[in-house]
Amino acid sequence: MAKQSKRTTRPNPRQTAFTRFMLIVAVLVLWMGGIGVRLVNLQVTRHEWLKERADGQRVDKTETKLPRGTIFDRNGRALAMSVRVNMLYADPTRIEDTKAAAKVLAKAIGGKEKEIAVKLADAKENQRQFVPLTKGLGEQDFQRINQELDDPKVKKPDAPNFNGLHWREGQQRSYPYESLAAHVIGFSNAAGIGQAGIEQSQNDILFGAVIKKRQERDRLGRVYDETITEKEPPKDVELTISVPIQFMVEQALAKAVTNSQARSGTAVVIDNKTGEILALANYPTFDPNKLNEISHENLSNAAVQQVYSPGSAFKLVTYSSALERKLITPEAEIDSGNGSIEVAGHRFSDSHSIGRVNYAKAFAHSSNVCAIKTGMKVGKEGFYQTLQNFGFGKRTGVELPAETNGIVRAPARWNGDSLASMSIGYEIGVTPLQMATAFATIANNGVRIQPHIIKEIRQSDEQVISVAQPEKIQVVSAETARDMKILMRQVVLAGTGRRAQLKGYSSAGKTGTAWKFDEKLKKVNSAKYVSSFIGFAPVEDPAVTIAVVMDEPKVGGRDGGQVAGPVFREIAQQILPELNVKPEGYIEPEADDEAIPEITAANDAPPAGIGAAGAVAAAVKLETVADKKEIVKKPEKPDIEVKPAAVPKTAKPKAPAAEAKPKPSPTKREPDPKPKASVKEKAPPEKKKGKT
Amino acid sequence: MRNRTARRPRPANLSDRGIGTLPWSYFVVVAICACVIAAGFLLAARQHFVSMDLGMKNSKLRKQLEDFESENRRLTIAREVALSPVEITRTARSFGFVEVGEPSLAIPISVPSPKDPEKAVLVKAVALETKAGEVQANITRTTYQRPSNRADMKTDVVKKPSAAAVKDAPAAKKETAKKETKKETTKPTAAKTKK
Repeated sequence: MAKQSKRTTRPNPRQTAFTRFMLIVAVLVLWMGGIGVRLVNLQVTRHEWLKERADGQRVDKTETKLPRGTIFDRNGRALAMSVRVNMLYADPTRIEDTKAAAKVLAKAIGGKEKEIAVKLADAKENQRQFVPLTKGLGEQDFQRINQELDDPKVKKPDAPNFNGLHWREGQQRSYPYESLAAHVIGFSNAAGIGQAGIEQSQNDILFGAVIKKRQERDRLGRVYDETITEKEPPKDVELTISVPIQFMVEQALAKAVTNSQARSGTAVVIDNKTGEILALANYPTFDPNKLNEISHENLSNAAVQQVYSPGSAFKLVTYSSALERKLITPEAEIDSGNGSIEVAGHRFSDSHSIGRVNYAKAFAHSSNVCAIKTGMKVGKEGFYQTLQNFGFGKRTGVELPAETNGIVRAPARWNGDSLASMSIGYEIGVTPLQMATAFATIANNGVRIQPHIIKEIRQSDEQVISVAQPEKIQVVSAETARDMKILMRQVVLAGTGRRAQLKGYSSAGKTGTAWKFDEKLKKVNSAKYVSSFIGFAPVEDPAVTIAVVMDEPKVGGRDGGQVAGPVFREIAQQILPELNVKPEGYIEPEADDEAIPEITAANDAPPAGIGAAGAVAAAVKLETVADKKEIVKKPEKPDIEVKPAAVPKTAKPKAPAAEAKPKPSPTKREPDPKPKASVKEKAPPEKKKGKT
Repeated sequence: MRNRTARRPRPANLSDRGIGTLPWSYFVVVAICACVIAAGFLLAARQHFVSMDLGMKNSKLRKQLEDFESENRRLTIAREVALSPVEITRTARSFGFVEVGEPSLAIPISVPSPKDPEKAVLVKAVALETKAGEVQANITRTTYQRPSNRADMKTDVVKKPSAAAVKDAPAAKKETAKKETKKETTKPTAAKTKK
């Protein structure tokens, strides 16, 4: 029995082995299961958190901005360019000892240690993680500061090797030519968005896109993989401006404005054959590098943003219109009478009578009476048509921001004397660029080429993607243009623009002197003028048209010929050789510097107050028929007969221009209840009114 | 004690025991496979490290390219600044050049005050106009006054006498008095001799 019991208690080795095996399997299963559960927990439940943490350790995500596009002049000289700059900032939450850090920082970046220490301590207390320390540093400063801040105990992937300090890349816009062509180029703000000039109008093209960089780093901080979100790089803009010409123009303009103590001055130079604007200057100007010092008054680009009454310079349109309709010829004669004319109850007068002269002489001496008579011959519709064809009353389309249309009313809104006023450059608002374009049209044999200031747009790899293609319109016939050249040549040779004569080149043009509308006085101020000279050279094959407009000159004359003529001469004399225009031989000036003043004298100026923004002057020399009834006589052979229907029965206040507020008449103006005729020639006046 | 476990005789040779021997080709194949796998791992590892190395080089080159472009832009601007007419005029003026007919320039200079170096005293310069074609010396008249000559400035320096000097003061007074009396006595004699 004992043997049997021994046998029964003896364990089965197979069973034991199996049990042990199963035990091991169970442990393994539990172990694997635990790991599996943990893995599921980590990879499913806490996936995002872990991914972020992992990325944070090895992945850097940065957003940088591509440098804004460059603006070049026509010769490839950079007028505006962006450069990369660095900004050092601190994350005080990661700085243990702010005082020690401030000491090192003060030495590296300059500045007062105490101030930096206070700044860091304050930010640390408030848990702020971004404290800018220094901005706009170039590569040299970047390297130097990195060396000075290098802490051997610290291991940090990015520079500088100092706990809590980091660099941030940025860009800075530079204008190497300072104030040169500032009104054309404009400027951009700190965010890299254009605020004026080409910078504003071409912002979409120049704008530097934001690119995202994803850099993967190893444990030593070395970048081993980099992913960059591709963006279209900004494009470069090439202007038609030429730096040397622009500089000459600006110098001449600045000198003239200073000498004449004018309020401001504007000059435009256009290439007649292409419509390219070679220079566009305003004075006073500004330096786009110093945005803090820019005066608000100097920001406006008067060449395209401000309207003025052109005065006699606008007679170009009057005479062109008549010549185009074969109503006059340069040789035909016109009688200016006694130097005064009355239209719709308003009297327009010259400073002195030039008697019976041909149209060339009338134009050269800038007779208001002759211009009004010529305008009357053309008529409302014809005049308005020509005016529109020349591009007045609408934008030229130049690629500059905030260009104004100018002020031109439709004939339906004209008053009885509006045609007369407009014939001599009043009741209309134009920009210097519009005037320059009109003269360039004549210089270009009657073909108006749309002025433009952008030559081409190209990619950073020099590939041209857009070229300017200006619109060309035949405004007047080549014959009319030729006759106008003859008339304008006479202005320079024997008229009001003698001071615009050049040495070695022939020139032609027209002076303009207009009284300004005074916003404070609410009438025309006889002490304020806008004097201009617009012309081209050489006459035979004009290369450039130059418009010079001076606002309120105070010293050394007021006529366009006296104030703006010499500026035209100085500019033309310098830029024609620059443009490789061969001299036509030495031409002795026919007159000395004593230019003939415009016979319209101060009174280029007749009625009408339409002015917008004080730009359009109103009339001068207005006398109502009621005041001067006794001296009104009907001429024996009136040059012009105007239908009574064209004249309003009652003189009403002038209708304002489309966007202008009505201005009161500059002189006393009683309504004429029953004007017999709208145009009458005045008998010899007993006493001369108006300035001579 | 008797060992109940039956001990069977074991043949020394495996084949005799019934276990078949593995052929050599099997080991060769396994070795080759192992080599291939190892080589694959090595190649993959090499590729990985080469890729990382290339990535680093690429990154460095990209950074270098950016730096060069940035430097190029900086140099372009520096060139344009140097070539700008404004800068040329400025440089010419700094060398003393003036335009024809332009009055000679006198630049107001701020000179540090000797009394208080932090305060600058402006030297007002008066420009003298030159006639065209006439060479004239560039003379400036200034209203600058040395602080020591100014009425509101004290120029006398008063020193405190030392303690030794104070002690010796009566003796020194006596000496000076003696000297003065000597002088007085000698002067008339000298006058007499001259006469």
